[in-house]
Amino acid sequence: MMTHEEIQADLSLLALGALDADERRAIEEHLRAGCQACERELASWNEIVGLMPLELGDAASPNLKSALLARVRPAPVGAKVIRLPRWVAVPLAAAAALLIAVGVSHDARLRGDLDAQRESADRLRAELDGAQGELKRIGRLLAEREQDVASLRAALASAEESLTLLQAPGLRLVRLKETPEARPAEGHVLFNPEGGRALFYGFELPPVPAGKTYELWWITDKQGPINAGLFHPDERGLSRVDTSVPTTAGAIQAAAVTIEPAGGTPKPTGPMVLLGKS
Amino acid sequence: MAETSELVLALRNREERALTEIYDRYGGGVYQLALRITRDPGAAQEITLDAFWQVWRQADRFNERQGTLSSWLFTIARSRAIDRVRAAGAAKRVEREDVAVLEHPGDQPEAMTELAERQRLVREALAALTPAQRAALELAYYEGLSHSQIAARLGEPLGTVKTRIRQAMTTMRRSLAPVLAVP
Repeated sequence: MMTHEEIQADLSLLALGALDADERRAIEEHLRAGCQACERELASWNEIVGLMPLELGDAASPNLKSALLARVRPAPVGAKVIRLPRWVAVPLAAAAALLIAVGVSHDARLRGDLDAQRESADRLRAELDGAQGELKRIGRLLAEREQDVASLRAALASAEESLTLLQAPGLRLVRLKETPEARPAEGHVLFNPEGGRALFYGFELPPVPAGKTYELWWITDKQGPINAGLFHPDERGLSRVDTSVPTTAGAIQAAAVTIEPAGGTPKPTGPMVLLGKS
Repeated sequence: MAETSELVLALRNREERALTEIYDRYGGGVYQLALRITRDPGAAQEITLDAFWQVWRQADRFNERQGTLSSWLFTIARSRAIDRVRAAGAAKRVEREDVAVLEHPGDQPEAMTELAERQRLVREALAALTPAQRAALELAYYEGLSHSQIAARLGEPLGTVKTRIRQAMTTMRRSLAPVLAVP
């Protein structure tokens, strides 16, 4: 245990850093205990020791002030070029190169994926075009089928009407034969004087010349010939006229077919090709 | 600006002018101290910057009752330099002529005049020591040796070295009394 006097005697050595570790610890403990006299004494020796390096002068010293101020000033916001030591810069550059390589590889893979996606998109587009073409074709077929259905419905409706006519009581039939001026042909008219409805069917009538039409006539006892309708045979030579029976012209004496100018005439003017008496 | 109160207060307020003034006064001396201990200009520069950086950051820890600001600064630089030398195993020897020399800023004529006066007194105080006393002080201060290590280095009795150091320090105090803040 050092006495206060022994400690005071060694304070100059403490300031100089010339004490051994155990001596230093003993004095520091004494100072921590609150000896103000020793604290003042040590401060005096510290000042003297602090003056010692002044003997070295400062005339041959580098100016480090700018470096010092740069260190204490806060770093500016924004980009700053930092010169790294080689042991940092080389691994950093290698890491950057690796990242770039990985990035290039990744980019190449992405490009490959993109090309594959483009090929897939082209393939899908071609398939879509084909599907759209098929859809149009199916649409056309559907339209044709719808037309067929409409035709069938019309035919069915006509057949139903014909059946209704045929099933009605009082049915009458008039056979029509070709005239001596006409080529062989025939036809018949089904009508019911009570119902006012009539159906004409013609067979093997040739097509009429351009600007001409076949015209069907009722031959009545009061008004003579009355227009019953215009018609053209189809490609098979079949003809059909859905017409009505005049009710105010007296009894039906006969039915006839003549060739008339297109649009028909009120009274027969052309050659008679079919005639059938009631 | 006075060395202690105002300068320390400005440092604690993070005023750059205070750091600039301290550097203008002692930057060269701190560098020379670090160079004297390390014998390495590069290390001396780093130690100088680190010492001022520590003073700047730890100004709140400075205790005026334990010494002056300059003695604190030199103590920091000395400790760092000795630690550097011990870590390296041996100081690198270089010639003083190899040290890059820059002109001292000298932008504070009065402070520089005062500093020059102190330098003159310190040199005279050291010159007043006997060669054996000065060698003992330099081994302790610049090489960080304890009195027992010095005795071993010089091959002299432990008590003799300790007494020699005490006598040298007393002589220094007497010689430097005109400039001491702490009597």
